[in-house]
Amino acid sequence: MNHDEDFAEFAEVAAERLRTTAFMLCRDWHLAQDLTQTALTRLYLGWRRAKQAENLTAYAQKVLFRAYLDHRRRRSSTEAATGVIQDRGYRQSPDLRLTMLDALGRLPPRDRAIVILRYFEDYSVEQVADVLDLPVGVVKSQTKRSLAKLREVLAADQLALFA
Amino acid sequence: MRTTVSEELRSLLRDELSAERPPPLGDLVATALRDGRRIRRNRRFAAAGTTTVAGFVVLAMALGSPFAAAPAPGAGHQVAARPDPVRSSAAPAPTRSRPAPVLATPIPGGLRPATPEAMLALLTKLVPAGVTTHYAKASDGSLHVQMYLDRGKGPGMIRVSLGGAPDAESKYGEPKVTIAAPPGNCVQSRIVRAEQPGGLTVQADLGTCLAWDGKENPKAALILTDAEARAVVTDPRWGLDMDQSLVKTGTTAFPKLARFG
Repeated sequence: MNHDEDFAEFAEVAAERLRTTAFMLCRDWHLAQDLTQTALTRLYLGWRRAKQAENLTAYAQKVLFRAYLDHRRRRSSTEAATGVIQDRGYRQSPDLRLTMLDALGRLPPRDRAIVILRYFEDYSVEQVADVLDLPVGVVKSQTKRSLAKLREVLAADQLALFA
Repeated sequence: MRTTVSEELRSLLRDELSAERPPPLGDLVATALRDGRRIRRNRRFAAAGTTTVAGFVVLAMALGSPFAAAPAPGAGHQVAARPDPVRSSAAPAPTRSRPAPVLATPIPGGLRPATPEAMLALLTKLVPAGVTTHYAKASDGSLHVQMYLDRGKGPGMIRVSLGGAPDAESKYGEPKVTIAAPPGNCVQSRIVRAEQPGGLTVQADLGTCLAWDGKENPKAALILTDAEARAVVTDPRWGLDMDQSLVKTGTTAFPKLARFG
């Protein structure tokens, strides 16, 4: 099997999952499609190196998350300098029930990525640290902070999650 | 606890995702293959062109041509003859930057994937004369760097990031430069962004404050004018692949960078 066929076979299987992950990150199917496209193109260009990865799917996820964070950075003109989370949570509007996707959307991009990798993709702390190129300690502390944030904004019937 | 959270959270997300109506995947894979082939082909073409031009100049110098030091028509970019001395954050002594002497042609050796260290090596060459300190790279591992520049009136902060999925086919052309001054974020008081025709984006964020020091973002003055920032972001040496000599210089000059973000 040649280079291109090899890549195409993997990409056909992985594309749908990558796009779903991208959607969870950005909540926009068109942007998710673009991010997946970008990630697959980058993956193709580094296919030889990617093939040497222990876990090719995790490697592809890594490329996707980088594409997402790159995109966010280019659109980061509203980013807070201090990293303080703007909090207008559920508790201020008890009639409004947030979905989990809504709640994730309230996390900063990197924290959102950590939660998705850790709890949706079921990666270990070490794997998340590797994908996002972060120290393990940062992944742990950010995970804790993100869960606390989700706890704040989710409806009471969803809080059983964190009991 | 993690198992419960993970299973419950995954279950909730799956329920919500199943209610979504995603558009068809379309020819995502075929497009990635087509774009990837084109970029790869053009990279090879560009590398071959660089080698040819470099070979020509070496030959001209060997022959003692009086034009050997003149700009070579069609040369892709200019590279400093030797790196300015720079220090990593692990070595806090500040560095006096100065406009670097330039050669007429690229140093042969080809391109390598860009690194934050290579970006800083280039950035220190592009800014006006002054003392540069506080070198750092983004903690998420992306191509995003920070540097302070002091031109004699106190330090100012510059952050530069690279993004996009460049297509080498249309790389050569005038970049489109936009300048924005969004309110309410002193780290990005001025955003100067160059979008190359091929898709590469080079963004310089100029702050009216310095980086978060644990208590505050200390106030600072904008350290570059719009014209100076424009010159930085439109330099043709920026790319997701950068000249090998810059990558090497960066690795040597910034062995242990601090992180931000």
